[in-house]
Amino acid sequence: MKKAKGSVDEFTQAYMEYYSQVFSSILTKVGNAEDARDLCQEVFLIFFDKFEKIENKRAWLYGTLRNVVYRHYAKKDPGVDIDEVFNDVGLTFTNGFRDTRIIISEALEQIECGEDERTMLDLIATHNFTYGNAAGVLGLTRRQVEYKYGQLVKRILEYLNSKGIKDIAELL
Amino acid sequence: MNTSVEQFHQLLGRYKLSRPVSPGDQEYIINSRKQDLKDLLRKKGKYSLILWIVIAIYAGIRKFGIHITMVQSKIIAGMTAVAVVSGSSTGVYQGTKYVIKAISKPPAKVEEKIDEPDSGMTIPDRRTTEEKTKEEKKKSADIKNQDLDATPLSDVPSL
Repeated sequence: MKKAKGSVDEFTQAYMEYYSQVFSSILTKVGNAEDARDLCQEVFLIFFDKFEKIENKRAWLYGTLRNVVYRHYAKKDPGVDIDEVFNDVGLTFTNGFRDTRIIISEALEQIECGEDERTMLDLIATHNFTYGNAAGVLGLTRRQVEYKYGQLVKRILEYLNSKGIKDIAELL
Repeated sequence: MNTSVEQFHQLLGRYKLSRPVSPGDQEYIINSRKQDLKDLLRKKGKYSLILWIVIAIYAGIRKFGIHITMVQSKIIAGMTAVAVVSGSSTGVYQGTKYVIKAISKPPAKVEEKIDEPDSGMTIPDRRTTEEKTKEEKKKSADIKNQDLDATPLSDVPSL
């Protein structure tokens, strides 16, 4: 199927926006940068083919990367458990604070924010990207990223507050 | 503000909600982004130099913290191309104009003035007397021959 010029532009824009997040997520699962790069390429090749039909690009990319990583592990060990690989929030009992973990995870997922802010959150909060590196990905200055991220954290803390977590220092 | 950000990061770390990527890997990811896009577009047969220039403009401008879209970077690429083409064509036009002007110019006339020797000056005759008489004889013989050539031949036989 021939792709319209406009959709190639849109794909390029989406690629530039999500590449770092997808690569980082895969890298934290496979642990090897070269393997992660190949798998990331695989995800985006499928993304290119199905681009016009995808509505929620971020959700689709995360779903596909999960399948691609699963296939990668299944090649080595056919009996691998995907949930174990992805350490799912709802299934994992970490430090005995499962509920708190779910609440924080919900706060990260459900906080109302734009695509750029979501990317910022993924890169800085989840993958510990420096402000400078995140700025390069997002097309913002380091200062802008620092300020916007501060505002975002403030909103997340307000959400946690509404869920009964008055001071996060208590949870540490 | 910074304290709450730090506490938030500690919280994510404690509940294993963060999956950190080392700064070295972050650099690697950022640097491989463009190359991988190039490879992907090549595989899909969508790679072209023009598209690559647009992507380079898009990525380059975003690097400086200016948020632009692909459409905007296409416009910038187009304007740059127009400026380059018009600039170079003006240069070619001016150059051609100069060359044509230089070729069609009439050849320069050099005025040379040779100074005649002063009329009062006489050039000394260094010929010998023998040469002088020889020359005079030759001259008179020439005159005689000219006279003979000029005289028409008569049909009446002379006595």
